Amino acid sequence: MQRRDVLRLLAVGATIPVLPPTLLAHLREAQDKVSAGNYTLRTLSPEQNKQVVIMTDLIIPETDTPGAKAAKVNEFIDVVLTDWAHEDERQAFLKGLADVNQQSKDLFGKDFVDASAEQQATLLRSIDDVAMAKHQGFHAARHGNTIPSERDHQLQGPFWDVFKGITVHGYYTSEIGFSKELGLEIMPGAYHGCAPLTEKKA
Amino acid sequence: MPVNTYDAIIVGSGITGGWAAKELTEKGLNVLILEAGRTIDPGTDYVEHKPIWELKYRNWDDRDVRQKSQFVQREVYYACDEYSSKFFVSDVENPYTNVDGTRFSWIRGRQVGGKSITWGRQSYRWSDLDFEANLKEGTAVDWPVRYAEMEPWYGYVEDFAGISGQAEGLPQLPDSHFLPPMEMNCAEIDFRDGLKKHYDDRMLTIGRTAILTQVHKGRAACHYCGVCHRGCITQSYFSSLNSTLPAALKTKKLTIRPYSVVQSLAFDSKTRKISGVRVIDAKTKETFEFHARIYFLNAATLESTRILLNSATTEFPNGLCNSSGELGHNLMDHHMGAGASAIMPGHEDKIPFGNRPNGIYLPRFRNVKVKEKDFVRGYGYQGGGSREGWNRGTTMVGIGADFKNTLKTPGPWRMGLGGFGECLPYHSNFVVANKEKLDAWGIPTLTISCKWNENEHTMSKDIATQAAEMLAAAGGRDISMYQDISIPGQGIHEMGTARMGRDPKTSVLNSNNQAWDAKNLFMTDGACMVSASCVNPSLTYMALTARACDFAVNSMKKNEL
Repeated sequence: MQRRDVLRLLAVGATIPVLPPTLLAHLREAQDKVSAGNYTLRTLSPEQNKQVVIMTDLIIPETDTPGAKAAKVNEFIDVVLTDWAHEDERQAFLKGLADVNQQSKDLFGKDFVDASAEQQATLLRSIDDVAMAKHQGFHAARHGNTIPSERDHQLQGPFWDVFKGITVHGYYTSEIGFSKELGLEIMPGAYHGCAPLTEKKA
Repeated sequence: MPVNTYDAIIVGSGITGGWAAKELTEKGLNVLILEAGRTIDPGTDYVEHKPIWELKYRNWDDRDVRQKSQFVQREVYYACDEYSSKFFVSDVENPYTNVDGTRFSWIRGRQVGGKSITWGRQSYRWSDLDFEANLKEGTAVDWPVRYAEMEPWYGYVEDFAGISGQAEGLPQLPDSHFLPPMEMNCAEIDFRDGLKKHYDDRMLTIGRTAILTQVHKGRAACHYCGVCHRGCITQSYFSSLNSTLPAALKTKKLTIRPYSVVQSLAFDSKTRKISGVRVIDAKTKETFEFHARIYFLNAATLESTRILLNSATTEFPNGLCNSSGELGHNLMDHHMGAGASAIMPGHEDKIPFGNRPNGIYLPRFRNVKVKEKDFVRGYGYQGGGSREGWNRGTTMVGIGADFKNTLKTPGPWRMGLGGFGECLPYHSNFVVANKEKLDAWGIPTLTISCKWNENEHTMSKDIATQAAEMLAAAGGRDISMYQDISIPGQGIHEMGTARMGRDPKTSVLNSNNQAWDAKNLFMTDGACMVSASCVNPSLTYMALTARACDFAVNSMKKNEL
């Protein structure tokens, strides 16, 4: 049975106050099917892709849950660079990757992908410290139908802001990030305003 | 019955069109709905449970396509997005013009269900503070109804629609017939308690919303997926598609004709009645004419008025039913864009479970008991508490396992308040037909001139400072205040342009939403509104629609129509 069919049944049998476990199981099943399939890179070269995979996985590594590499954040980045990015944004992104590689060469005498894991992490940390410092103390305050300034501008700005932004977005909007890491449900089935934090399946 | 002839024709299938269909068919009339847009199949069109990883751009939206086709519509960023932009019109097919120096964002949904699919669902009764405001101030014209007349109709529509909320006994915000309220969360409870301690005239209640908190009239309770504007396969929130249209179809007396773009109404100058509706088929561009004894214009505020403006005759050169000269004038919307947010300390071991598609409401306190010096009318706040999520990772220092583990735990509780302010009815805010610019079906479009005046700007400043003060008084920290008044239209509460009234010389509709100049024509969408209140208007549209249908059918029975 398809997810839609289950939902239709639910709509008809409208006396069910809480979602039946079978419905949730079907939802998960339907979701599992989506991630299958092989992706062919369209913008990133194999070398660039290798660098992107390492960088995203250094930002969000595997812990007790899979990290950015397993969540295929690099594929999301390639899709965005190919079909969403404008030429100047695409070039700026690729130049940013090249700059990181050049810094690796200057510091360690090696391409980024050939540097040790420790060297790679050290380099990214130093870039991150400088780039993120300027954001501290800022909070988005708005509520309502106003236009959020960041819409459409996700690939604009300093390279590290763009790279970290797309990595974080790509990971937590992946099935791994959403379901496995954050333990979120698409249909929680109930609302409690002040539930214990542990109840939110960690 | 002759071909293309019905007892009643309704133009539009959104919130008010759906109500008119339900009421008129249940009273035994054969009804035709003319809907300009396509049909919606909930099974395929609703996308509320589609995981974000199934979207190509993970809800970053197909920006290049959308910037070209929906440059106005996507100003509603939370709803006109990669999931739901299909529920909003093409700005290319549906152009309009702003008068130089003014700007109005006209948000539209053309499909069976109209904007009721994507509406905000907040539902509040108006009070006599609203219905008497114009009269007491000498502004515009008096409402021809009072709360006592509306009260039973509010109750009637609420009993069917299902409104969840908490009874509070406030005179300025009368209680509805409520389903059980949704819960407040930790930050909201703290803010509510702090507010109570510091203010005699202010309080916080849970949002009153047309979402079911228990099984109601055969519709399931909310399952808290939290994204109603993408549809609801369990029909747990009120939309015409989820509730009134199915009820009307059950009578077997309703025909819905999609892709039916209404060009104009025909007026018989001898009988003084509407004699037909001229329709262009959106797909084939063929033209048709449909006839009925009574007609309901429920195409949404400005579209309903546009149809009358485009139905001008020699007798009514500036729009049909415009002997008053008020048709197209007194356009209103709620002004937003001012408020504040703050961190509410504590409760770090607590989190909301589930996605509550509702917030809090802080009812109006200005000009309720004490008259303010700087502005008339008032405002209410909507908003809520939440814990910061993974999004903060995009600007947070750190990489690696520590960074990831930090993001797994939510950030502090933050409480936000955003104001919805009343806009006065200004004759100078208006729309007119523009024969120079035609839409995709060759129909004259609208030129709009709308701007806020001093009262709105002054009120907006007060909204921001009061939000910050209240958050501070209630223990909020790290307060950010903002005040950047919204563009008219962005509230999507456009009202007026065919107002009700007591005098045919100064209003378009009488106290029963019946056109003074054509007594078989009724308008019950936002166009009829005489003032704007500061609370969301849709519940009042519903009540006015049910009331007008009752009047219309009684008049038909008495052979007055």
